Amino acid sequence: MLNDNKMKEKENGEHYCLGVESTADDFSVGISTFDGEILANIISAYVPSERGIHPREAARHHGEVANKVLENAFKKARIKPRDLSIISFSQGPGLGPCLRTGATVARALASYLGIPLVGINHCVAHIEIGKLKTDTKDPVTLYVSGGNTIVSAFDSGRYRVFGETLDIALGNCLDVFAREAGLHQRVDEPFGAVVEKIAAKGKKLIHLPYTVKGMDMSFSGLLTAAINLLKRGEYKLEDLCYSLQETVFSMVTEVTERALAHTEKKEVLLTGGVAANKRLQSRIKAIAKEHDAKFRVMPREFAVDNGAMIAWTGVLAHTHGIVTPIEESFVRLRWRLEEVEIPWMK
Amino acid sequence: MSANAVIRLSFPSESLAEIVLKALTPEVRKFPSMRSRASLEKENTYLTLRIEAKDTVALRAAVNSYLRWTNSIVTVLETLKDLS
Repeated sequence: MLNDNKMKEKENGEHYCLGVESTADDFSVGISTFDGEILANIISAYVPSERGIHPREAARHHGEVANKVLENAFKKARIKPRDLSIISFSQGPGLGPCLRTGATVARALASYLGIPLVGINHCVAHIEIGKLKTDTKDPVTLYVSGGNTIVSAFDSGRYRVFGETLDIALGNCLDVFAREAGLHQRVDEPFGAVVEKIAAKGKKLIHLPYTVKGMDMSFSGLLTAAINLLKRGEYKLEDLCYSLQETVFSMVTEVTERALAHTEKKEVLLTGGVAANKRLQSRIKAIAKEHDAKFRVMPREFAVDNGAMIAWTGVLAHTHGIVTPIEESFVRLRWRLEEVEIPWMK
Repeated sequence: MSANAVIRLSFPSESLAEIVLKALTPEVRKFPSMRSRASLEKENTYLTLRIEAKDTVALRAAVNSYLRWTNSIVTVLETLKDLS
């Protein structure tokens, strides 16, 4: 065990941060330089054989794969553990058992290596890796995944939430519908991609509840309506998938456009697992064009939950004086995006 | 609290026991369940985990959590040593 808590420096002067991500179904370790070069981003996904994510089962998966993922990350980055300067981890929001598994591993790494620990907000990390990878500076971000649906933009020292889901996330809505329809997902083809493929064959737009309240959205009612229509058997699955996609994408597009009009920002960033959907990309691209803003979409590797985003945000946070003492590094299951101060943005 | 467990864990070194203690302490101080509580003490190369739970179901869940976390830490640090 190393005793000094000073910033360690490799002989060539390069600094590295290792980030641990474990908020939900993915356990991932990323390694970033202080200049934002991502040296490794190893992701191990927990895919349940049936039904949704069971938090304890996902946590068990994370605990079992942690050492292998870590080993692969070091091999890919071609650095040694003692080259690291910081350990960062996703402190929240997320599923308790999953967060705790990543947190205990990260604390042990920081303690063993005698280097600082930095707790990172998962949603902030999605935005920061998005900015890094798409070369955007100050975007309106639409973050859509299985656990989050957030439209945000920076203002007065924080990423403000302009609109969000009032109940389930957009990705969760698609997942549950796909499961009810008896579809199957794989590691390389999640439910969202399966629904997209089927929706591409749909032609008929079936009316589903469209719920935007102020700047917030609700997906649970339309999910129930879609499942009820599915069970009645009156419509083709292709048309239901198409209608479900069109309705939910219209909702997030409307809210994103209103945020864009209000903030007058000149960039739109689409991220999260659902960002891979080509139809959603075309909808957001269209509104960006109308508002004379650049449209940027994250590549899938960095759009899904990943350790690289935690590592890079760890660099940003630590170089701006943020450290999380191990004894106070409690996980924060409901840590909201706008609670986090962002000192690295002016 | 009607179900209790005391588990004494032996580690190859005092420093490893200290790392595990540090890593688990936040989870002892704020354990998520109202149905159980735990304490963790270090003595040389040993950690003693005491868990009190409302019933055996809660006890098993808590024991599994702490032992899985401990196992993850130990295997991760072994990997780290191999990589050094």
